[in-house]
Amino acid sequence: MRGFRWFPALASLTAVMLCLSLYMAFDYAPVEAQMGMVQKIFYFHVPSAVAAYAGFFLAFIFSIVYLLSPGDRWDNLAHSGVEVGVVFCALVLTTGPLWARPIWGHYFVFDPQLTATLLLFLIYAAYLLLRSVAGDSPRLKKIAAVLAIFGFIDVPIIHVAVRKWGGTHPIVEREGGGGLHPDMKIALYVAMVTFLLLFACLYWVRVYLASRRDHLRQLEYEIEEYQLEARDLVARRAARSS
Amino acid sequence: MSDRRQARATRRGAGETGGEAAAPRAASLGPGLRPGLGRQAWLLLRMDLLSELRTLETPLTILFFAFLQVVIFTFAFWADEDTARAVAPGVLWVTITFAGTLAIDRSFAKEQDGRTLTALRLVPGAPRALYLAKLLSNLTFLLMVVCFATPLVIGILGVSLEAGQLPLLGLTLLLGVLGFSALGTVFSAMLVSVRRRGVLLPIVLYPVAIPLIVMGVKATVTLLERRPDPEVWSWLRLMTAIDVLYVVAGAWLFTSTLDDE
Repeated sequence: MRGFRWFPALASLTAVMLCLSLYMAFDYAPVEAQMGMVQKIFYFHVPSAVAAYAGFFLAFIFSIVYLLSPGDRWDNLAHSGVEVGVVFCALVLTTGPLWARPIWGHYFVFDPQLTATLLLFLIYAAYLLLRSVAGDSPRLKKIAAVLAIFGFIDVPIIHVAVRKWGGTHPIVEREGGGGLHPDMKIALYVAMVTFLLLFACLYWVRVYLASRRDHLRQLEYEIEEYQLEARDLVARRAARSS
Repeated sequence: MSDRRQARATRRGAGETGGEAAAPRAASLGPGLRPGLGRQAWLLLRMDLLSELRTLETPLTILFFAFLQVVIFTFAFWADEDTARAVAPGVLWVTITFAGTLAIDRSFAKEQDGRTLTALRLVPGAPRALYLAKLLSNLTFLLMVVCFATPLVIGILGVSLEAGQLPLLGLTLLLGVLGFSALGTVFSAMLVSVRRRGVLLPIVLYPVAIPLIVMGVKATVTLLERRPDPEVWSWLRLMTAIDVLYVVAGAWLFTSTLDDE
C-alpha cells in the first residue's frame, strides 16, 4: 500500500454511486407488491452480504500468503479484510431482522441463510477478539491466519450443513434472482457495485492505516536505538574527560 | 522504504538463527537414527499416555467435569421425561465438547510447563509426528469422556436405546470427536505460549467447530428418533468429509505454525 493518491477518486466515485443506488432503490425500482416499502432494505441487505464475503475471501487469501511467507504487509491485508468484512456482516445481521420482523413476524428464524451468516459472524468476531486481546506477536498473527483459513474452509461446510438441518425449521421463501422484476434486478446490481466500491474504500483506508502504524512503530524503534547510542556516546565521553 | 525492509529483514534474521543452527545438525543424523513417521508418532503418543497414566491428572479432571456437567444439565432441563429425552443429545454433545476442551487445553500446556516443548520441536521431522500423536492422545481423552458420559446421559435422562443402534451411535460420536480434536490440537498448539490461553482456546475453537458439533447433534437426534438408517448415514458422510478436511488442513497448518517461536 504505497500511496493514497487515487483514493479521493475512488471515494468520490463511491459517493456518487451511493446517491445513485439510493435513487435506484427508492425511485427506480418498483415497490414490491406484497411487502411494500419494507422490501427496500433488500438493496442494502444483499449487497452488504456480498461485501462481507469479499472481506472474508481476501482475509483467506492473504492469510495463506502470510503463512507461506510471513510479512507484516500480508497480515495487515488479512486483518483488514476480516475487520471490514465483519462490519458488513454486522450490517447484514442488523438489516436482516429489521426486514424479517414485519414480514415473518420474528426477528430471527432458523432459515439456512441466516444461520450461516450468524455462524460466519461468530468465527470472524472471534478472530477480531483474538487480535485485540492477545497482543501483536508474529506467533499470534500466525494463529489468526490459521483461524481465518479455517473460517473460510467452514464457509461451504456451513452452507451445506444449514441447508440440511433447515428441514426441521421453517423454510422461508427467499428472494431468488428468478422471481425478481427486471428493474429491481438492475437496482440490485447497482447497489452491489456500490457496496463493493464502499468496501474497497474502507478496505483501502484500513490497510493504509495499518501500514502507517507499522511505519510509526518502526520509527519509534529507530529513535530508541539512536537514543541508546547517544547515551552510550555521552557516557564514553564523560569517562574519557574524567 | 528500502531501509525499512532491510531493518525488518535483519530483525527477522536475528530471530531465525536458532532454527538455522538446529537444521544442519538434524540433516547430519543418519537415516538409521531417524524413525519413520508412524513410529515417531507412536512413541510420542505412548509417552503422552504413560505420563498421564502415572498421574491420572487429565482423565480424572475431565471425567469429573463431565459428570458435573451432566448433573447440572439434568437439574437445569428436567421438566418431565419427554423433555429430558428431547434434550439428551444436546446435553451429551455439550458435555463432550466442554470436557474435551479441558483435555485439549492441557495437551500442550503440560509440555510447556515441563519445558519439553522446545525439545520436541528440535527432533527432526517431528512436527507432523507430534501433530499425529497429540491428535491421537486428545482423541483418546475425548473417547474416554464419550464412554463415560454416554451411558450416564442415557441412564439419567431416560433415553431408550436398542443394542442395534449402539454401533451407529458410537460411529457418530467418534466422527464428531475426531474432527473436534483435529481442530483443537492445532489451536492449542498455537496458543500454548500466548497469554490468557485458557480463555482464548474456546473462543477460537468453538465458532469453527460449531457446524461439526451441530451435525453430530442432528445425527444423534435422527438416530434416537429411530428414523431410517440412510438419514443418519447422510449426516455421517458429511461429518466424515469434514473430518478429512480438518485433519489434512490441521496437519499442514500445524507444521507451518509450530516451527518458530
